[in-house]
Amino acid sequence: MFKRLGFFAGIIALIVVAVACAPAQPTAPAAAPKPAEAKSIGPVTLELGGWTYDNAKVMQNLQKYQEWAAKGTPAIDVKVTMSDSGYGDFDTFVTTRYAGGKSFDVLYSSDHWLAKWAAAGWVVPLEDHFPEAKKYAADITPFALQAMTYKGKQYGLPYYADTMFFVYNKKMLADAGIAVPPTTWAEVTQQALTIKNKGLSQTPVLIGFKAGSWFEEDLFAMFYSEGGKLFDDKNAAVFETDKGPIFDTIEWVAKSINDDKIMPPKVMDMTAVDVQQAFKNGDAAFVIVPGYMMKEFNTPGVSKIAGQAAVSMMPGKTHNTNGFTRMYLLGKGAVADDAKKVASLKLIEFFGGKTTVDGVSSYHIAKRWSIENGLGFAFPSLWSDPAVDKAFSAMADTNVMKSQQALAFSKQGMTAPWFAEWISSVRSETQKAMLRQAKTADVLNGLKTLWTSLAK
Amino acid sequence: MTLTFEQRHHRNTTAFAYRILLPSLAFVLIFIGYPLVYSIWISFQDFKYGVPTGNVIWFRNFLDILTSSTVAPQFYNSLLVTLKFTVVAVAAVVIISLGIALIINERFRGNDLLKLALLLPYAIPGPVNAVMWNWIYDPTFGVLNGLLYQVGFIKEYFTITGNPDLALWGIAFAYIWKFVPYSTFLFVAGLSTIPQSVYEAAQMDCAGTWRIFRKVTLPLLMPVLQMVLVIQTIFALLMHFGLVFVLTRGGPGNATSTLAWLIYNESFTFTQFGRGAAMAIMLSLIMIVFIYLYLVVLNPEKRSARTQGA
Repeated sequence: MFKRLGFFAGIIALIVVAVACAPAQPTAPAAAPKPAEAKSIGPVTLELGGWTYDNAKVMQNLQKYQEWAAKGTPAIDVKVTMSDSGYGDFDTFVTTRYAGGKSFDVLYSSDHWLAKWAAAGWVVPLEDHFPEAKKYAADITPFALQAMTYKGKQYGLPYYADTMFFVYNKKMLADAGIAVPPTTWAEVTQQALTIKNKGLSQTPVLIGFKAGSWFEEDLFAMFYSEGGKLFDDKNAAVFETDKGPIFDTIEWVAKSINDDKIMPPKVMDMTAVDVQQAFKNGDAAFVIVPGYMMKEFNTPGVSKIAGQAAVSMMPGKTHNTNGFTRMYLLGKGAVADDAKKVASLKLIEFFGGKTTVDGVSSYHIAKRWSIENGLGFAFPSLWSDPAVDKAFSAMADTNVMKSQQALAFSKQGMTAPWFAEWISSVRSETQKAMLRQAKTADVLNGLKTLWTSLAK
Repeated sequence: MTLTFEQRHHRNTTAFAYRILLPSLAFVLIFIGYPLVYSIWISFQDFKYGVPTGNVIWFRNFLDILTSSTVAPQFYNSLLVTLKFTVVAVAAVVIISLGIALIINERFRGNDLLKLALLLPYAIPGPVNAVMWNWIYDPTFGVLNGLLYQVGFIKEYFTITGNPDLALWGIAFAYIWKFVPYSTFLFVAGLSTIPQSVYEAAQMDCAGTWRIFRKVTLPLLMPVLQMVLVIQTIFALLMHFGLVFVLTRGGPGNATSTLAWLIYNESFTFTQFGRGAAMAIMLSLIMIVFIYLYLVVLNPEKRSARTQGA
């Protein structure tokens, strides 16, 4: 009996020892020594962590980078491998990776993940290792620069930066006898009811409110359009809970779904991508979508309403909107090794900055994404590029796009590391108010209290 | 001290048994024991922004989950949602699969084909199943809406996963569809062990179908029923996660925020690994309670032993 007990006690002791020996805390990387001056570097292998989006093009861009780096000074013999997951799961992908003690050398990020990853020490300030990053600041649109900044330090260079636009179906409005698109949310309701009553669309307004990251892109765009302010510069919650722009916006959505019935309850099950599909199909008159979707809306063969989608300034008191930024960050793993660090910084600059390729100095990769995929860009100077202007003019009125981009702001509160936790509750709680399962004032009060508790 | 032959034999046999068991035991300890102990250890730790602060806070995470104003309401909501889902899903799976098992236990033409068809839902991998149901339920182009619209049951497309009153049941339906076959085959295996002579004796006593089922089939099937209940409860508490992840992400509102979803969110979205681990342990305890109840309530011998003991 005791022998048997002894056997199991031994095994348990082994487990306890193993647990005690396991690293309880990821160790901080040693301070990186200054990269040595060298005529050539490598061979180096980098790992790029990104979400799946037009990977064939990403691979071509990586090939171009490898060739460009090999010809540079110092010449870098570099090979880049890419690990990717879907955008919706990318935060989890990165979190599990770092929690498991692994790092990326370079990784994509969305603006709302930066604070969380930077606070955890998974990514490092780009400007600390690449002071040249600061030189781009003057040519980066303010909301994008703000989105790439955490605790006063610039962490990345932009992959793309886009703006949430109010888009309407010109033909549907014309058929309903509406000459000018709405400029206030009350007018949106009025015009949508006209369209519905004339039988032109049963769901004239579609805005994706499925729980997920598009939820807050849409909601913040609407908050801002009414002049909403959620947080002050010190990240203190300042929004009113029983009146004001935030309250009015949520109430407008609730009324549109439950009373006016210009927006179907199924919007709770739709992302911006679902909205895009429905709008392309001619199901709606008004949608809020990111600018890059305009390309597909107006492309014959892929859209039933090609040529009929138009951008308009966001309805509301201020016409402001939400601008979002995707960026390239430097992973903490890259700075522990000189050669990796140099190659990683060059990769970030090649992808997110201005480089000279075949004697031409340009934001080559950002330009390629904008021309070929319609992705918005963080560099206003690209507007003066004839190729970019031509591509964007084919998909929308670029004057309206420029005006709207000038009124774009990044999501307030995003620089707080607890933003991810808070926004998760915003999604679920606001949905309840939109479906009239809870009172808007109660929801906003709860969200304000939650923000304050999380900040402690 | 001289050992008798029996003692020597016993010692050799025991040592041999341990040697035989060692590989399996090592596997269990490495892949189950170690992670289990490690997750308990994590649940005692404080994390801030994905990194342990180095403070061992013992049961503070557990206390926060049960009492704090930020986490407790979500936990209790998820607990309720999970219990509702589990009760409905387990009951439905057991009743439907037992019904189907009774049917396919009979000999009739096409029986083998039916068995083969039944296997299909279970053979579909979980993530594929979730994506498939996402398409079926889609409020814009989903097959379900298309079908109901064409036969005139609905006038316009509607949402299941976007409706707080329907979302959980939409997930439950997809879950039941997948897990009925598994239990069905367990029941079929159980039914095949009941001797035909018992049925014949009951029929000679002029017992009806329902009476035979209640007095013969069900009691003799009790061990299988217990096993199905235990397995299905474990499945229902955990294996709906893929459906929630793909179909609703816990919404709308908190309508489908089950404990499994909340644990995922706490750990991987909020990077509160300590709290996530604590919730996972609490979920395991809930599972143990369920299993204990099944084993005691559905086991007449244990029940009577406890009664006599009292």
